[in-house]
Amino acid sequence: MIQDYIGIGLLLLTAIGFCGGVLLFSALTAQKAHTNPAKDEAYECGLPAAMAEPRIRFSVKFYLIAVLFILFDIETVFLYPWAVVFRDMIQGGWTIFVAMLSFLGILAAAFVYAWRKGALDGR
Amino acid sequence: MIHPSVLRLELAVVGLMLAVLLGDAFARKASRRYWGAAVAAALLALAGYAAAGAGILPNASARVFTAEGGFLVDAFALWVKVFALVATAVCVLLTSRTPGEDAPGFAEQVVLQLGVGLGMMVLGSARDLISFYVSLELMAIGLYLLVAWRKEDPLSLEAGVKYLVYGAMASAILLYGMALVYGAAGSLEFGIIRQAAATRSDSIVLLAGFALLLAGLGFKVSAVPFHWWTPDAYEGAPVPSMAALSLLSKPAGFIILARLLFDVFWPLHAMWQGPVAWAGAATLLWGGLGGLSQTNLKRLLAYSGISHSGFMLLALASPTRSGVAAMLYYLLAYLLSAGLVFTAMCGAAGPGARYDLRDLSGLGRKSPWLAGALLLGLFGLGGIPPLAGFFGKLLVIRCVVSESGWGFAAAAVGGAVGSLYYYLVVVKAALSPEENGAPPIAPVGRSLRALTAALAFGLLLVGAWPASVWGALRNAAEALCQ
Repeated sequence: MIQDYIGIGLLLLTAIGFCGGVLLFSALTAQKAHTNPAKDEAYECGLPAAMAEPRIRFSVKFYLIAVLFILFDIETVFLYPWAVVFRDMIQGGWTIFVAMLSFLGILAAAFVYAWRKGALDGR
Repeated sequence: MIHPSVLRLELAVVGLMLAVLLGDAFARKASRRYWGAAVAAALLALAGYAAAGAGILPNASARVFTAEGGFLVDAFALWVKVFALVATAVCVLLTSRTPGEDAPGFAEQVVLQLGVGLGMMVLGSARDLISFYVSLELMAIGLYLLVAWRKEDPLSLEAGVKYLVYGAMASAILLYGMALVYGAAGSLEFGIIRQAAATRSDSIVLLAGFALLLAGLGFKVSAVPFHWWTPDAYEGAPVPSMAALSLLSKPAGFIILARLLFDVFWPLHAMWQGPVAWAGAATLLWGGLGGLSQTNLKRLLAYSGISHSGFMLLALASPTRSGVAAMLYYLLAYLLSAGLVFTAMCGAAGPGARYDLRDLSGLGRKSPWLAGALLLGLFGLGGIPPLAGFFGKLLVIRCVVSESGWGFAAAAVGGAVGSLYYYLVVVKAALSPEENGAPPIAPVGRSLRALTAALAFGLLLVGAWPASVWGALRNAAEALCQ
């Protein structure tokens, strides 16, 4: 019973050991860093002074690109299992091929639409 | 395995959506006139094809399955598709009046409305919990956007947020119910769930799941006590989106409710009849009384919608084929009369109008055509013979008397009288002399004229000669109750 958890215990020990070891090693060997206010500031990608005021407006172009990314991300997620079963299911007819083709076609149409509407202009 | 030929109607709508989307990406602005009319014509052609059987059903009692039994086409599903296609065509035509075909976002709005209509078409065919939920969400997600469409208008945004929050809550309740039903029945398929309902009707998990399903759908059809979102969402939404809410989303709720009550959970009918009847009576009275003090046409129509939901719930509380057929007839009458009212509203004011009742003053003088449409639509909603609304109410009350008792029938009559009063308030406002500040009216275009004429003709035809649709409705009800 308790032996079943040995693996988790080992993982825990390794994680603590690795993090602690790295921190200890750098504390012992590295040069003392110079600090300044800019270095101590919390960092967030793309946003200056992220912690200053939470109610800021930020550019919609990030959001658009995120949405487009998720679209194609989901497409890949869907393509992988399709590719795995493709060889077996194509024996039973072309439905699986046509189905994926129409799915990709719909995505492509949406992509063309987004492109024409200037979603990729980055302005 | 999926047989695409069974899905031909749905695939055609998907094709239409892609065509509008790509057309919007490439077409020049000047070439966009008549897009609304073209899309609506395509939808109506599809509706005619569906009404003729769409080449899928060999006869009225046949059942065709696909997608591993998750998608069913029978006479009931085909009727739902006809209804959804016609209602979508109405919404598209309204959009081509306000905001208009050259307004930015017109094509996107049409695509979303087509998506909502597509959701209802699939929902009519849903034969397992997955297709049920996915099609319901397809409708809901499009509607969240459509309700908040005028994003520069705080009222529209407020409506959108309220609808989104309530809708997400209802979806969560629905999903929880589905999870419990799945856990109790061990399958997503409606057929197997029906067997489980027949053999294990004492399972508390199944009953709890069923109750949660009913609560989630109660939100969709704005049944008391899940109706609170309705007036706010209607008031803020642009009129075409309001039309999509009440001509597509609400009927879809009733369609799947009928499928659940009369097919999947039919073995429990002695158990659900009472609660559904009580909810119907409460909804009816709430809608009939709540609208009395309204001074805004959109809020008033929301309460009117609640009261109509009460009527249809009472029809469903009669566990007979006549109950289903009466509900379907009532839905059709509602589509025709509410469609007329929405068309008159779209014609009488531009985008962003508030539709306070006093803004309607002088409509009878400024545009007799629109005032006539409004009048006919309101009389249809109120149930004045010989319009279709009258026979709808008559059929429902007849079912209620024989199945639920005189008390419920009295509630139905009381609610109907209350709502008739506030329809007459609107009529009075529209026929009163013009006050200062009433907005001017743009000339009524050809497509709007054609739409009002078609809806008015339908309202009269279905009302004066119910036999013209009764056979089809009866077949649909027979297909549902097997």
